[in-house]
Amino acid sequence: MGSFAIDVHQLSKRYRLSGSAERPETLLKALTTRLARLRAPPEPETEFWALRDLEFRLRPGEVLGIIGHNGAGKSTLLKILSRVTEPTSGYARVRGRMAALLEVGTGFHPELSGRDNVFMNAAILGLSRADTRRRFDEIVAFAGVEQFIDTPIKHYSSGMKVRLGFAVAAHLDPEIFIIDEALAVGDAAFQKKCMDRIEQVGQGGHTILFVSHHLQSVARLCRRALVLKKGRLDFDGGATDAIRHYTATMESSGTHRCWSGLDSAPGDDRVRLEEVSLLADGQPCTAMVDIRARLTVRFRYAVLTDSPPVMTSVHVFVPDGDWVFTAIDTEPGSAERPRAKGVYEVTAELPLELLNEGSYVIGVAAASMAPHREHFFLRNALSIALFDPMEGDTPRLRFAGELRGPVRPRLQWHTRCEPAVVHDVP
Amino acid sequence: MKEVLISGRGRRWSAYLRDLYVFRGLFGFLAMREVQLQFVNMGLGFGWLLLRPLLQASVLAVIFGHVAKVNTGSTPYLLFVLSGFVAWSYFSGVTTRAGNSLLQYSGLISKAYFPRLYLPLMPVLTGLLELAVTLLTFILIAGLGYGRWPGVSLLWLPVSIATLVVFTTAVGIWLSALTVDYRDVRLASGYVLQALMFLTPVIWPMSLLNERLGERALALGPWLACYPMYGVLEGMRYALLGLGSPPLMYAAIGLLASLFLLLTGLRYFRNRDHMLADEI
Repeated sequence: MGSFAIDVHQLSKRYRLSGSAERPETLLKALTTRLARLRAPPEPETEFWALRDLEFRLRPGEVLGIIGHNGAGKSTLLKILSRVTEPTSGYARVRGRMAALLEVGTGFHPELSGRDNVFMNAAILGLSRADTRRRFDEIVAFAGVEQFIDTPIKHYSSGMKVRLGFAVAAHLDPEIFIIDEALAVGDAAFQKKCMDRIEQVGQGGHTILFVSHHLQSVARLCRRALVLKKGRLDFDGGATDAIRHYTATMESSGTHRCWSGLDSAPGDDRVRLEEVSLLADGQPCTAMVDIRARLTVRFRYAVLTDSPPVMTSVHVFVPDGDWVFTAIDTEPGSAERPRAKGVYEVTAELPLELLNEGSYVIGVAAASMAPHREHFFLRNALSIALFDPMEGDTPRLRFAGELRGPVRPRLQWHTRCEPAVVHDVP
Repeated sequence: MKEVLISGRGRRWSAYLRDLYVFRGLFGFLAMREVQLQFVNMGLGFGWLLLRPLLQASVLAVIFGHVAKVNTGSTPYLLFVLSGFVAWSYFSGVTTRAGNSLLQYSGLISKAYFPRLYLPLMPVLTGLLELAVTLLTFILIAGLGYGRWPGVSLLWLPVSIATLVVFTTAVGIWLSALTVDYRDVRLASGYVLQALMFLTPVIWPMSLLNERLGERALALGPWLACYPMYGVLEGMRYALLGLGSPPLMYAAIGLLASLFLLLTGLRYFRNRDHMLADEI
């Protein structure tokens, strides 16, 4: 094989899970355990391969999509290729100027002006000062923040910050571009602008490695795609075939799932999901649920090491991927309570008669705040279909037609009659 | 065409050092931003820069000069303490900032590649600006207030400052990596620095130590010199106030010790470098 832009060979990355033999956290402990170690042999460590023997080659000018579930190794691959972290074994060779975009606006500082931050961000992404100066006006225009360019960005709205960050990235002009699609953010119009720009860059003969959750954008931008599964390469081929493969091998989800081994469970070195299930009126249920049932999402997670407070959330999606809602744990005190090592069971009860008929996908997530860290976010934890038996007391009464929208709440209706006001129509 | 090899076997020293040069533009940016932010945050700018060491020195001068009556011969005690603080505030300020630098920039470390060594090196550079200002202020205070303008002995100043900078850099690099590895280092380093100040001839003269040690002073000298700040402070006082004679032995041993600490620090930092993004 001749030329390549990226050549990945047996790339592997191992993370050590915190266990009893974890690296000591304090210098004091390190010194005392070193003394203790003289007597007792060290205990084996639990390890976790985020990436295992990954092998692929990318030709110059190729646009490659990478899809996979959370924890499949996508972000680890990004981090290795962008040189943020090093692989445990194997190697990757990159030929040509590369820019890796893992975050929009890396290095932005709130106290500095938009102008200073553009130069800073560009320097971090590898653009020289002269090049930045040449493209500066274009960048500012793309972001649409001309009037505010000398204002400290702490006064920017979050949308403006994101736009400015993406604008810098969009004007980089590297030979190889590594992008995390989660970056195309902001309002719908700006998202489209971002995607158009990525497409334009791809057609301009640049090599792009594009990591995404969003299957439509992979189908649109890439001709070839890889599917990662548990750190290994599961599929390598045409983008549409890859997407078909990916959706077909999605873990069968229903109303109950559990993970036997910690290795396979979603989560990180602190928090791992053990079990998630859906209850209808307090009972385990099948995937078809009466729309009048009281729905409860119940999940158990293990905290592997004493941790700061964990914020859990429940996400409900319609099948094509859009959110119906996100609900975070609002139980008083829960957000402040540190999580000692142990297993936690969470139940979240949905309001009665909230969702409409149809299929829904339910996701669960756990994260820590300050610093923000996502422990797990399982988007397709459960899937259900709600049906209306049309027995009269359902929220549709005797109306048999389609009631549109993802939700179908019961409102407080009042109709009052004021007979005197009405004039007879001549 | 440029080819980059990304592998886990650790890069060679040459590649590691080459990156320090390749990314120099970013280093300039980061250092400039650091200075810029200091001014933005301070509002008062240079005013605060001077006020901090001046206030600290004055308080100590009152306590130890008037209450404890430390004997500094013909030199006014305030001047004596100030000359010590010029060097000490650089050392303590820079090592503190360098120690926190990796944690402070953890967001950047986990999102972009650049030589991580820049982070503890930045305060070393920006601190030099402060050092220059405090030095000038000291010379003005000593000259205008006490009529003690520096003489030829000022030629010794570069020797002292070189040792100071190398030693500070070494300690800063060590501290930054240790702070990530061990959570108690950050807390402990503040106390250790404070204690260290009293073990360093900042507010007391070396002559005091020599008096106490008597005969043993000669034998202990080379060992004391392994702590470079002895040589630095003696040198500063010779250079700025013409006190004593150029501390040749202290300076030589101190510089060697600093270089040793710097090289071991670089090695330790490099070995931890590639793990930073996973651990921070």
